[in-house]
Amino acid sequence: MKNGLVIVGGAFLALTFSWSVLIFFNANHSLYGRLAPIEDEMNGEFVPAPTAGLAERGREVYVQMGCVACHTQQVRRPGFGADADRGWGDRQSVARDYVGHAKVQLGDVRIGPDLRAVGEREVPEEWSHLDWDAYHHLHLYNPRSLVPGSVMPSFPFLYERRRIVGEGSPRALPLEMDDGYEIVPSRRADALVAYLRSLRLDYALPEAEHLTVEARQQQNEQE
Amino acid sequence: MTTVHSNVPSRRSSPYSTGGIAEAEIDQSTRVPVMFFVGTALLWLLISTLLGLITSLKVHWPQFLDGIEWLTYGRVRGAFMTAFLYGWASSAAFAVGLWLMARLSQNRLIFGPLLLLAGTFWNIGVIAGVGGVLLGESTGFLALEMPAFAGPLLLVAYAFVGAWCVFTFYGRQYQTTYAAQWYLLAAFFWFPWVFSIAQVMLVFAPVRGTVQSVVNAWYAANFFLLWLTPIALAAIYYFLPKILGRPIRYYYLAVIGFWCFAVIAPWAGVARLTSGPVPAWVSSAGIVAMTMMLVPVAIIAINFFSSFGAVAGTRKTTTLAFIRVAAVVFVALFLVGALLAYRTFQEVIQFTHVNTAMWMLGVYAFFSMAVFGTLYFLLPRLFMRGWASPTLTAIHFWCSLVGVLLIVLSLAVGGWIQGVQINNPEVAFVDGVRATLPWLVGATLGWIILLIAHVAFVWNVVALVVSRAVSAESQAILQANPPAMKVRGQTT
Repeated sequence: MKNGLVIVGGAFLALTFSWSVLIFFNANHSLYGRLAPIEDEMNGEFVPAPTAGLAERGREVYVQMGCVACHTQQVRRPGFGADADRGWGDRQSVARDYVGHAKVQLGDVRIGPDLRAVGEREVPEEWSHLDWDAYHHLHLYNPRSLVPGSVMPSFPFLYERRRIVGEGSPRALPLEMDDGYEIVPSRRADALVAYLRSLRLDYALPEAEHLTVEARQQQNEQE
Repeated sequence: MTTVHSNVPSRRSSPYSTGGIAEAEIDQSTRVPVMFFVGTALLWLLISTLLGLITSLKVHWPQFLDGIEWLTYGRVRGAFMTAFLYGWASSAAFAVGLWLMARLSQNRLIFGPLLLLAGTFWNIGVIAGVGGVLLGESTGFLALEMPAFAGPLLLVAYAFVGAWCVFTFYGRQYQTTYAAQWYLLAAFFWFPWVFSIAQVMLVFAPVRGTVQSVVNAWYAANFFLLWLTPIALAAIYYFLPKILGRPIRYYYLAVIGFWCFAVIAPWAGVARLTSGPVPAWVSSAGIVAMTMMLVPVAIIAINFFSSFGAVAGTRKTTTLAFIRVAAVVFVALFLVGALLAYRTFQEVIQFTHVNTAMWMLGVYAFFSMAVFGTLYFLLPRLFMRGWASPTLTAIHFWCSLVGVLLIVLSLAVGGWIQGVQINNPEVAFVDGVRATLPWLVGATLGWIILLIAHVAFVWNVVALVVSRAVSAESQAILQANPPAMKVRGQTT
């Protein structure tokens, strides 16, 4: 090859070909890049529901803290891995589930569990005396106090330690402290927990009907 | 003094040794910018090694530096990626790319000192990127964690480096080009293209839903496949014949290898989206491309390995040792990568430490080793003096090799265990984590060994730069370019 233009031009065409098919085509496809929420015929509401304001700010906290370095937000189809058996979601997550997400945090490593449907998950039985928010606040404040052996970082900087005045804050974490102080979630902690709570897959989408646990069981029975 | 790095026919018949510019003169013309990029790259190498060690420690020892906002795992990991990919790898790629391009084009690098401006901007961009991630401004996208304001800065700085590279190429002495030049030219063209696409489609005008994930996977893979890989391949194509003193065998295949690489590689990155909330054909295309990559890889492997063979003692240089490791890892990486892309394996390893193991194999055991090899050749010629300490050189070589192998093997085994445990719903998640811990400790040991390697290397470089005396021994090393090679009985 004697002509630099041939090299540069060829390199340009090769990359453009890949970009135009994998990205440009997908981004403008009516059944993928231009998906929108759809109306649920049962109750007339649109799914997936838009994320509420506080939860939307929680998404920013999630991104800021780099949660994606350990947590995925994608449920694999029943039968591929054990996502459904672990209770991470009853169906595969599909593209439409993410249309409202400002920054899609699919993630590519599971040092911690998948969080795509963490908002649906119930508090573990031994902690069932705690409500959902309190459990997750305590867990963020000190993961190892609830899950011994966990390698998750703790986030005490999302909580304020302050002197108890009068009866104390109703929002204080249910921790037994005997030094006259209490631990209260900051705005960021509240937003983050609201965001986690908003992560759900408990609505039906027509394109995901064959990707549910039930569909998988029926398929197994037929076989 | 002869220049021996090519076996292109026209070069053999050209009056090469008399008509060209002396190599020493070319080297000196690149001295200022290359020194700057090497210096800053080494600083970033040390910083990213520390950040890498911290991330590795935190995965199995969560109490380590726990509860400090800017040192929380997610942020340190993002800062590590930014410092390593943009601080170390890209700066090193600039240094290697500029110097190689000048040498291969037999052309002086003109107005080299102007590139200090580009280098300064680049480093401001990387500092802003790493600092921004630590302060919580991460974009949350893999390999593009740097906050929005850092991206344009990097792109402008890059534009200078890329332009200089192209100018140097266009002023080349001989029309005929060599394989290393194709890869360099393509890499310097691909990088700004994929980088700006990712910046626009993820940060400035984000695409919708999981199309972001496709763009991100495409970018993260192409950063390695279309930017770091071609630079390292160019270095190997340059040094193997030069040091061994014999031409690349089956060189006529190289052009086929290059075009196969250019056409297939841009598709290979999306394989990792298997079973994700994206169209299934996207990951299928990626898997097919990963397998098809074996064609260019096989051709390049034929070029490289058939040149290996027995080596005379005088040619056994440090550069050759590093370059050989890089060449072997390159082939191993794509063989294993093609296999692991299949869904049978993805079901187990898709979200595990195996990904990190493969990443380290690519950016460190392949790319960084090729860069180290280049620097061992390049720095004595820039400074006109020899390496201060063969002991430090040996420490660097063996520690970087052992360190990275320890990391890769530990994470591969630990990651496999992690995948098997996660796929077994009978095992509590935290017990699965516990089973991987010993292997993660192994990876941390590897990082400590890498730290030793890098401290030894930087020490060696500093000693080379500050030493005033030029020993007779090092003078001899300097003067001796590798002995001229014989091409079909004719000495060039």
